Amino acid sequence: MNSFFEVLNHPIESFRNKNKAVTWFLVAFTILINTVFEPLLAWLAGSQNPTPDIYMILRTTLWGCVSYLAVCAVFWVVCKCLGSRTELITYIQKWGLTFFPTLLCSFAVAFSETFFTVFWNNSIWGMLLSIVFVGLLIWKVILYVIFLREVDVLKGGRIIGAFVIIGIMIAALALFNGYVGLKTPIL
Amino acid sequence: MKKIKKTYSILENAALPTNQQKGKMLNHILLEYRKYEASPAERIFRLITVYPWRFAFGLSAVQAVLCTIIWGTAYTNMVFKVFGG
Repeated sequence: MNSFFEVLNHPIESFRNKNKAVTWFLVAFTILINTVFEPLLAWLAGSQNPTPDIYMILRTTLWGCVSYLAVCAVFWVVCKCLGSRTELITYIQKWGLTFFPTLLCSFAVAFSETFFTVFWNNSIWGMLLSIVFVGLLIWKVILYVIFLREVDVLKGGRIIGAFVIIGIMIAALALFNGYVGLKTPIL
Repeated sequence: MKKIKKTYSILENAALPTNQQKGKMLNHILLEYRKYEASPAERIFRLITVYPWRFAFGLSAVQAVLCTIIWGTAYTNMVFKVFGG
């Protein structure tokens, strides 16, 4: 439980320590909420939504795992070119520590998609959800920058270069995620 | 007499911290030092990096309230379109 709070509140320390269990837990739950919880919620909430298809669930789960490995590989390749010495396995073990906002975002997306009619054209609900979505985005960007500093050990101009290049790759991967049916990108 | 001296030195050496322990102590001291001696830039850096969700949601709340006042539901609907919906 302590390491959970460390990941939540003190990201710098959490990147320095080993928190493999938290990483796997966060990544697995994010993928499962995206692929299992979201279709089930949509199915239970309204009759017009189709019954969840087990093959679809398995396929999107697989794409989720692939996408996580892909983003770690992107980090590894780009940072290697910029002179970082961190191993690929370290990225796989530590990028998952930034998944708290992603996990919460997949929850928020599941509810906002399913109960879409409640939130559309409603300024109060809309404002609350835009606080949540934009807040989660800012949180993720903060964690992303801390990750570049702490795990990649880049400095000065290189950190900005890596930020831009990996940022573009992440946007491309996010579009691909949307294309294969993951509503919250597993990145 | 010699034997007593040897035993004494063994005891003394055992009580000394190892290099690893010394490193740990140094790191601890540096960390504590950084907590108390901070430049303004460092203080802002810490405000953002410790409890990152606090800063993120604070900024986001300001943004959401301002934009909703200015553009109303057009803005919130756009946020929905971008973030899934």
